[in-house]
Amino acid sequence: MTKGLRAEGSLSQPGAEDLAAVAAEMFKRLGLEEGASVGTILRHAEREYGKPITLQALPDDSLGPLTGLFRDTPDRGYISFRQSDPLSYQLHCIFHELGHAVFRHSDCELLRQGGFNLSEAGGLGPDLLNARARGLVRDPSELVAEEFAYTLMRWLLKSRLDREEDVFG
Amino acid sequence: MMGNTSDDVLVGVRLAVVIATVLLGVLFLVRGGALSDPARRPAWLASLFGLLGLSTLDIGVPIVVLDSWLGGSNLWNIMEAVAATCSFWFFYRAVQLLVDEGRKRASRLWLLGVIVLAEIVAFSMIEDRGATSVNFVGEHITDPACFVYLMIYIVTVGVLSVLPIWAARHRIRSVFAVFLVGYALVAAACLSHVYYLIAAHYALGTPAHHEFVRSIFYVLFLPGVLALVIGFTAAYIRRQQKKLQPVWRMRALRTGLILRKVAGEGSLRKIIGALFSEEPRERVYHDAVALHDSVYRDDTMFTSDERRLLERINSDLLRHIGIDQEIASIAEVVT
Repeated sequence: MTKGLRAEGSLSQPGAEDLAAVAAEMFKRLGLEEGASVGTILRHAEREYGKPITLQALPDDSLGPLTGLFRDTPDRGYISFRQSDPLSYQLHCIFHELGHAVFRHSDCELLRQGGFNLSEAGGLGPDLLNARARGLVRDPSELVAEEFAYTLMRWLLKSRLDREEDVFG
Repeated sequence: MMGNTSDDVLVGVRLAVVIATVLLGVLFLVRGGALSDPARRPAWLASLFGLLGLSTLDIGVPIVVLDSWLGGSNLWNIMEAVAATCSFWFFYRAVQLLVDEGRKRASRLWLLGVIVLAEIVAFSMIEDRGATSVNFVGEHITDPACFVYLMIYIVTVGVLSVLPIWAARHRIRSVFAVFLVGYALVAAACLSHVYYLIAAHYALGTPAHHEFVRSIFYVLFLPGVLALVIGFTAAYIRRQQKKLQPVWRMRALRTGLILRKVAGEGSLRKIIGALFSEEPRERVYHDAVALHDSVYRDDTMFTSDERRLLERINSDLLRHIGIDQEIASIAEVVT
């Protein structure tokens, strides 16, 4: 996830319905049941991705301008996020990167072309400190991943009535 | 009609009736839409019959007035019995729906019909019901038809109070804990009243003893009914809190305004529209993500009030999802 992604990649974008449909279809494929924990969501996503996924909480300076990062390697995927961000924001960033994993997006083309080091303890190396990845915000894969994150979070945040509230409420 | 109950207890019992009537009346009105929802309908019917039953207790509406509307031959008493029977029947049906969680179970309305019919037939066989009297039961309990009629009524209500306790024995928590108290009181009241009916009908003991036992019924039964109504009301309030989310609506308004201030996003109309959003919690989350984005994108600085709001939003979102410590426990921390 890059800075400012949400501002430009929100549902107000043209083609938002397509994005929502794609994200909803993937969410359905994960087959999550009510009450699923983050660990359970991660396991379902790993099944779709085909490899284990490791979450990494990084110091802020490791990610430079990014709020989250997904790296695909031959034997596993890595999702990195900032340690200091509020937990709910971390979760959003994790779900965004999880979107890249389940949709099997290759990792950041722009960063690779720029010659940034993507292997350093899950971070991007000092070369990225001045990088601006804003070019990615209109990348369809970023928009799909962002919509996937919202789809997951909306599902988690939905109001659920207890049975007694359903019957006596 | 409540026997020789002491004044203090009588005031307490009457207060229980007034509170139960007011709450039930409100529930009956605000849950009107429940009639078209099979899951919510039984509780609504229970509230309707409960109101009818409570109206026969000579509180609010004098028995003389009520009975004059019904013809003046103590029909108020059969109205009380039928209304209470139906109310407890439908309340038990609601409990069954709650416990069964989607499993289909026959409603057996025919059985309710048979019971009500038996009550009416037995009541109609009472000889010389006489003019309106608040002490109708005490004056006619020696009549076998009256004895049978009241036994059918009280035993049915007693059974309908024990069955829910048994049905929900594995989930005595939350609202059900309140129901349990109510049902236990009603069941105990019915037991005492069965004793009274037998003692009074067969003239066992003194009239004073009969009156004392009869008063026990009201002292147990009406607070029991109040407990059931309180549980019912609590479930309704909790549903409304979840549906209406008033705190999240105000937060949606505030985050919308902050977002407009720091990022120029959203028209005033859209922001005010947040108050009427179907899922305001989601709206707040959406705005909170945008606000955190703006910190990275534009180096946005928040006021202390805004920071506190975002912190509360963060912690309440996590509490709703139920993942307070989970990310920390499954993620590697890279230093």
